[in-house]
This record gives sequence, structure tokens and C-alpha cells, in this order.
Amino acid sequence: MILKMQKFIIILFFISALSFQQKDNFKEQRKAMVKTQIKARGVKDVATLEAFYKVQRHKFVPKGYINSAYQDGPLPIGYGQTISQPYIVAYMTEIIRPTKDFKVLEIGTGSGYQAAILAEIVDSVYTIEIVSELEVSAKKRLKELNYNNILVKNADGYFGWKEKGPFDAIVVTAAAEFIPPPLLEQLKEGGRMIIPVGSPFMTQQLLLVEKKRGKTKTKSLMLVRFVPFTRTKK
Amino acid sequence: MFVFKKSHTYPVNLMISLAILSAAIVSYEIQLIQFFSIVQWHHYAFMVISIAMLGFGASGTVISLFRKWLIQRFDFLLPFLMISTGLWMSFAVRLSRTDLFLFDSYTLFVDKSQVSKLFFTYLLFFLPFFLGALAIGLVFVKRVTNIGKYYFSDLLGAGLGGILAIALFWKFSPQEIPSIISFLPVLAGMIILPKKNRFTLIAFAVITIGVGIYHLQNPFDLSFSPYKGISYAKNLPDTKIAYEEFSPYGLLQIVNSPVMRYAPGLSLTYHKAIPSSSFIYNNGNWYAPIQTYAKKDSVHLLDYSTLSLPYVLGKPGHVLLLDAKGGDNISHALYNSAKSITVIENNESVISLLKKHYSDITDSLFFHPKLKVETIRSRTFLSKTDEKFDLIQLPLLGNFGGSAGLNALSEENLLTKESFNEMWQKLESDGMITVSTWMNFPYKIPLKLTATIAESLGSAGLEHPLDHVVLIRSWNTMTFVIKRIPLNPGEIRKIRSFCDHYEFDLTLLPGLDPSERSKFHTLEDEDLLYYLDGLFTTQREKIISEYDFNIQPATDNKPYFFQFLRWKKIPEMIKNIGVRSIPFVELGYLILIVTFVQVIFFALLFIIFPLFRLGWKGENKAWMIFYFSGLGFGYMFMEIVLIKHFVLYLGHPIYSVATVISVMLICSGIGSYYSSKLKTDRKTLMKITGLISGLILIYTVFIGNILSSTVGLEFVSKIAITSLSIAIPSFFMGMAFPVGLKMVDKINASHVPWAWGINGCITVISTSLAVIFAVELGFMALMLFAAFAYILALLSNFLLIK
Repeated sequence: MILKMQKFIIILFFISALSFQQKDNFKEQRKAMVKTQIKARGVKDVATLEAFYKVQRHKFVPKGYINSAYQDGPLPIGYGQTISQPYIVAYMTEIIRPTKDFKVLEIGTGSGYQAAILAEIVDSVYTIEIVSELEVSAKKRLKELNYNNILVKNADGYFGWKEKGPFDAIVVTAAAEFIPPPLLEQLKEGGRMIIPVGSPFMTQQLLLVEKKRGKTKTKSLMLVRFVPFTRTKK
Repeated sequence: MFVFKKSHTYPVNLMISLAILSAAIVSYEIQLIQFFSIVQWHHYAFMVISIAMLGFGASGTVISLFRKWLIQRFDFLLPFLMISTGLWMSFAVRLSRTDLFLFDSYTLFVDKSQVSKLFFTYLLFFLPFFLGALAIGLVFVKRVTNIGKYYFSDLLGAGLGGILAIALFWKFSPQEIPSIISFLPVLAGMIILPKKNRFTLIAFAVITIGVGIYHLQNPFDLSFSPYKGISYAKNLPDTKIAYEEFSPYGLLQIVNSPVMRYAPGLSLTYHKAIPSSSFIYNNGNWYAPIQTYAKKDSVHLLDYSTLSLPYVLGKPGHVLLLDAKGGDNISHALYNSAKSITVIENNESVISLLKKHYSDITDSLFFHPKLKVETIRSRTFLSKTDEKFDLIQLPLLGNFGGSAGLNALSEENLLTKESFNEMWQKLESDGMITVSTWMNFPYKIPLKLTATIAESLGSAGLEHPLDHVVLIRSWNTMTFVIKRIPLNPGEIRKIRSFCDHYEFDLTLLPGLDPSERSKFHTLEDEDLLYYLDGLFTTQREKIISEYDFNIQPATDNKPYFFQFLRWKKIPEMIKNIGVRSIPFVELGYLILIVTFVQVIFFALLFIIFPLFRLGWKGENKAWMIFYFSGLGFGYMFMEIVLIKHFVLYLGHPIYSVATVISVMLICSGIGSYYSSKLKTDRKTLMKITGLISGLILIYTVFIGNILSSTVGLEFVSKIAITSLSIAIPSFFMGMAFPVGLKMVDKINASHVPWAWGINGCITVISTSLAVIFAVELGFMALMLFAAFAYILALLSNFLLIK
């Protein structure tokens, strides 16, 4: 009996050692991701970087892609949707200048990764996903990871979330060919909206929409895909 | 020399059987091209053609390796192979929709498993072509003395197969067609059943027919790429496919959704609701919204977009809408009180659908008394019309967010320099052209469009072209208006006021102050403005040659407007964005290159290397290599260039493909039949190849003029001119191969497989190569290459040692 117990303890020890080993592996990968993909490309906001150290990206990708979770690129999550490249998520987070008291609206929950990153920094995140299957899985995932400051709903992002608005910032991850008027209405005066334009597997242009003194202006930001696309000045 | 036992199959039965099998193979090939366009993207057409050619090439090799064994079992094997072809035809398409084979273009360079799936798909579709080609090849080898006759029935059948495919497209779905075609090889096999093993073969045929019927009754899911528009749409709540129709124009689907809306580049000053719409999808790609006719008391969303610019300048009289699609531009023109509107839409199915089934939703838009609707290619209309217009409007170019280069290989005759010149000629004295584009990043379409307009205005001999041009932009669209006469101060005032009101930025306008150019939508840098300005100056050529992407205006000779990849800039791009990122900038053209490399590998592996087992001794090797390579390159180059030429002339790719392939194959077949009466000597070979080269060279010089001077004729007359002009060279082209093969047989019969192999290998390679040449060098160069290939074959005859 004692011998059996000893064997059991030894097995348990190995299993736990292995799982620790796995956790450490991902932590190392996460550190490397922040260092080589995010910091190296100019993202400096401390809160954003901290969030990326903390949020376990591998828990937001489909099982078959866990080993690729920290790679420098987008990954498919089903339904023709993707989890964005880490750098794009970081850049979009930094550009809205998030602070602790922020209330942020996200259009296009997807896997919930962007929402989780934001939730590490801001007060509350409201996120809308139009594909019900993705909404259900993201809600479950975020609950399991104890993100109590994220509210997910299955709805048409066009209408925004009027009863929870106005928002300090809006992050649109699934861009439309027009900016829905309700979203502009729900953006606070001085608020910022960020939209990536282009296919997630291709080069994307980030668009910043700012509301100042009742006027809405846009600004095209850098082209992103792996590294910023730069052209030699003529 | 082997002594073969007498075959039980009669020549006439065999000829009919062969023709049916060939018809099945060609119609299967064409339906497969359509199938891949639906589930993936159209550039897989070249992959399908090369798979088919590979099947033919590899079968030649197998015959040469196992010639004795195969011929001894000819009577049984021939029907067996034909029935097997049918079985695989219906199986392959269904299997390709299972997880093992489902690949996706978009993730090809992201997900390594996609490469192996593409490889398996290649092998899967290789099988039916290989089996069918093996049957055909066996007949040729067995009956080599009468090859002309059998080659004739093969080509005649193949020609009819092209027409059959088009007929099937009108009646059946993409899931049904493979099974229907699969019955033909079974029929071909049944015609030539031998006495021995007859019941085994009948049982096999019954099983194959049973499989086909099962597939017909249990249609499989098409499984579109999840990155196609229709797949996105299907995931949306309460979104339904309300209507589906399959025709030679592809799969047309109407999607009804409460959450889909259309408002391109809508002004940020617009605060009202955007209603949901129904949408048309063609081959799974977004095609157009179905637009209701806006009454005068309602709002038209396009009035709040940059697309409204031409109407700011006044109410137009006679409007020409090119590639009008679902009608949003039509209702916009009506809303802005156009007096009469000529609507040109190439897709007959779309127009018929909107008129017959959706006239309630469109409020009978297409029956409006002010409208004249023509279903013809826009450019063909421009070439034949004598009318003049106050406003000519092109469709919105590109896709929101870019198309990842997936349209790189599509010929856009409407967006060439010559097309803009023609539009300019069709304007009233104070008329205007308007064209809008989505912004894409890095800047490609806006710059190529600007370069095209600038060159076109240069050709019109304008002293100050910028006095005729306005360009405005929102955050994601740009709209040009090009006026035949210079803009007057009143018009300039109206444009300024319009842009201020709707918060659009003025980009090009006479008298524009630089500070006015980014009032509402700030760009990342000033590069776009620098290039836009520069393209209207003497710096144009320099900018075009130095830019990272190909922004050289498209021409009728190279109408690939959406092809932006520049080979010489690739090292610089790798330096800037890294080698891993290159596929993500221009995917479409790169897939063609990947296909090209892949086919070279497979062609060598399956066709050439196995032949070395046979050994290759004796004289005339050099003659065989040059002669049969020349024929392979020449025939395929000519076929592809003719298809491309006649698209514009006949007004639709389907008519061009069907006419060119059918006439070419049938006339080549007749030529082949006639060739059996010719002597097999060097003089004959030289006469044939010399005649073909001469004819192609004459074509290169005159074909453009012949087509442009007869483009205005009735469709039937144009089909007759097309057929006649293709028939003459095709007749002689059909002689070159069988006479050459007979020559090989005469010199050394054991070299026949090598001749087949070389010709097959080159045919496989030349399909993709022809498209690369067309994109890089143009149609004229491709035709010249076809002539040179036949000249090579002609000159090779000097190497022939009797």
C-alpha cells in the first residue's frame, strides 16, 4: 500500500512538474513576444506592456494552434475570424491611451483576447460579437479566466451599446466600410475610436477617429503587418 | 517488335467511344475551373488546367514504361480505364470537400498544413485526368498507323466537351455536374465492351453509375473558403440565402440579412439610420447590393458619399453607367434627375434576376422608362456605340480593405488606357467621366488609376490637364471627375462647398491651397499627395518606375489593372517588411508562381524522370526535344492568347472560352484527320510548321485591326468571324503533332513515349507560363512567342537525320 502511495506521489510530482514546466514555457514565450514583437516595434505604454505579460494568449486560440499562440501573426479562430497579431492588438490598445477609469466599447469580440488585454488596464470593457457561437465561447473563456469587468453580448455591432455609453474609447476589430453613426454618437467628447482597415492576413492600415468639439476627424496611422511598412522618402 | 493479338473493338465504335471520353474530360476540366472559382478564387483555373495536362503527360510515361503489358490487355483495360475515370470524376469533387483535402488560399502562407492539403488536392484531381488520358493514349499507341483518325475523334470530342460544359452550367448545380459528366466515360466504356470479362466490366459500370446517382441524390456541401464573403454572411444572425442560381456566369446567390448594410465611404456627418439591404454574391464573392429606387422625398445614401461628386456639378442629361451591377448607381442617377440612363451590365443572370424576381424590392428599377439596359461587356459597348454622353460613370474600384491581390490575374478591359481614351471620345462637349475607388494600403489602386487618367488626358492633347480634374476623398474612398472642358469658377465653388458640408477632403482641384488637402482626414504621411501630384507632371515615368508596386497604367495588351507585384522591387520589399510578409501584400500572382513551380516539379517527376528507365538511345534526340517542345509551347500559348483576345470582342469570357476551345480543338481534329493523307517526311513537317508560324505572325500584325473594325457587328457575325479566324491556323496546328509522331514511329518506334512525354511536360508548364508572359509582357508578345515556338519546331527539322 505504501509502495502504491509512493508511486502515486511520484506520478503526481511528475505531472505537476510537467504542468509547471508548460506554464513556464508559455510565460517565457509571452516575455519573448512582448520583447521582440511589441516593445521592439515601439510600443512603450507600461500598462499595455504589463497586460501583455499577464494575459495568457494561448488560452484564446483554438487547441490546434496553442503552440503557435505567441507567434508573430494572426491565427484563425473559426467562422472566418482571427485573433489579431499581438503587435496589432498592442498598438490598438496603446493608441486609445487607456487609463484605469476608462469605459471601453469593443466591436467584434472574437476570441476575447483584445477585451482581456483592455480589461487588465481599464475599469470596464463592453464587447459585442455578432457571431453567436463566438460570443458564447468568448463569454465562457473570459468567465473562466475571472474577467469580471468584461461584459459580452451577442448583437449587431452597428448599434453599439447605447445604455452603457458614452464610452471613452471604442475599439472596432471587425471594420465595416462605413463608420456606423450610432458608434460616433456613443463616443465621448474627446474620445478615440480605432479601426483596422484591411484583411487580418494582409497589410492593415489603422484608422484613428477622434471626436473634438462636435466634429469628427480621422487620421490614418501606420501600415502594419509583422513590422511597420515603411517607404523610403522621395 | 511485339506481335499483338487482334483487338475486338471496331474502329467506328472506338472512335465514338474516344470522342465521348474526350468530351467528358474537357467538360470535367471546365466545370472544375468553375468549381474552384466558386469555393476558392479564380486563379486556380491555371492549377486545374495544369493538373489535367499533367494527367495526360504522366499517362504517356506510364504507357511507355508498361507498353507491352498494357497493349496485351488492351480490350479489357480500355473500357476498365474509361469506367474508372467516371468513378473518380464523381468521387474526387466530393472527397475534395473533406478535411483531408480542404485547403484555403488565404492561410496558405500562414498555416503549414494548407500546403500538404493543396498537394493532396493536386493528386486527387490528377487521378481522373490520368486514367482518362491513359485510355486515350492506349488507343493512340495501339492504332498509331491510323493516329490521324483517332486524334480527330479525340479533338472533336474535346471540342464538343467545351460546349457541353457550358450547356450543363445552365441546367445543373456545381455539386451535380461532376456526377452527370461521370456517366459519359462509363458510356464510352460500354460502347467497346469486349466479349471476355464483359460481365465484370458491366458490374463495374453499374456500380459507377450507382455511385453517380447516389452523389446526385445526396449533394455535398460546397464548403466555401471561410474567408469568402458568402461565408462571412452565412455566420450572421437571421441571414438567409434567399435565392440561388447557377449558370455559366457562376453561382449567383441573393442574401437577405437584417444586419448587412451598404454605404461606401459614408460621410461622418450622416447621423440617420442606415437601412439593411439584400446583397448579390457571385461565386461566393460580394457582388452588389440590391438597391431600391429612391423616391424624391427619401434620402439616397450615396448622396452622402464622395460618389456624389459628379452630381454636385449639375443635373446630367444622358448618363452611361458601366458595369452597373445591382443598381445603386442607377437609383443614384435617377435620384439626381438624370434625363436618360444607359445601363451596361455584363452579367445577364444578374439583370434577369433583378428584373424577374426582385422587381418588387428594386421598385421596378430596371423597368424605369428612363433606362436602357444592355447586357454586354462595358468595353465592348464603348467600342461599338456611336452615342455621346454627358456623364460616364465607372463602378467603384477594388474592395474595402483591399483584395489581397486576388484579382491580379483578371483582365480588366474597362480600366485600360485605351478604354479611358474611348470614354473621352464618347463624351458630349462638356461631358465628364467619374470613377471612384476604395483606398487600399499600401497605396496601389488610387495611384494606378491616377496614372491611367493622367496618361489618357496626355493622349487627348490637353495643355493643362489638371484644369479638367477634381479628386476628393473621405477616410476610405476617393472620387475623380474628369471634365472634357476645364472646370469653371462656379463649379469649383460648388465642389468646395460640397466638401466642406460633408467633410470630405479636396485632393486635386484647380487653384487648391495645400493647407486645404487634409482638413478632415489626415493621412499617415504626405506620400499619397506627393505621388498624386507627381503623376500629372513630367515626373510620371520616374514615379512609376521607382514605386514599390506596379502602377504602370494597364493597356489592352496587358489589361491586368489589379496586378501590382514588381519582381525587381521584391528585394527592397524583403528589406522593408521581411520575406515572410511578401505573400501578404500580393497573394494572387504569387499563387500562380507557386502553381508554376509546383507543375514543373510534378511534370519532371511524373513525366520525364520515369522515362529514363526506358533509356534513350539513338539519333534525332535534339530534333525530338525542339520539335515537340515547340509544338507544346506554341499550341498552348496560342490557345490562351486567343481566349484572352476574344473576351473583349465577344463580350464575355464564357463565349470566348467556349468558342476558342471548341473551334480550335475541332479544327485541329480535322487537320489531324487530314494529316493521315500526308507523307511522313521532313519536307512535310517543315511545310506545316512554316505555315503555322507564318499564319501566327500575320495574326500578330492584323488581328487587332480586324477585331476593332468588326466589333460593332451583330453577335452571330462576330461568332462567325471568330470561328473563321481561329479555324485556319487550328487546322494546320492539328497536323503538326500526328505527323511528327508518325515520323518518330518511322525512325524509332521506341521513342514514341519520349515524344509524348516531352510534349506533355511542355504543355503542363506552358499553361502557367503563358499567363505569366501575358501579365508581364502582354498578349502581343505571347502571340509572338507562339510563333517563335513553331519557328523553333520548323528549324528543328534541319536536325532531323533520316
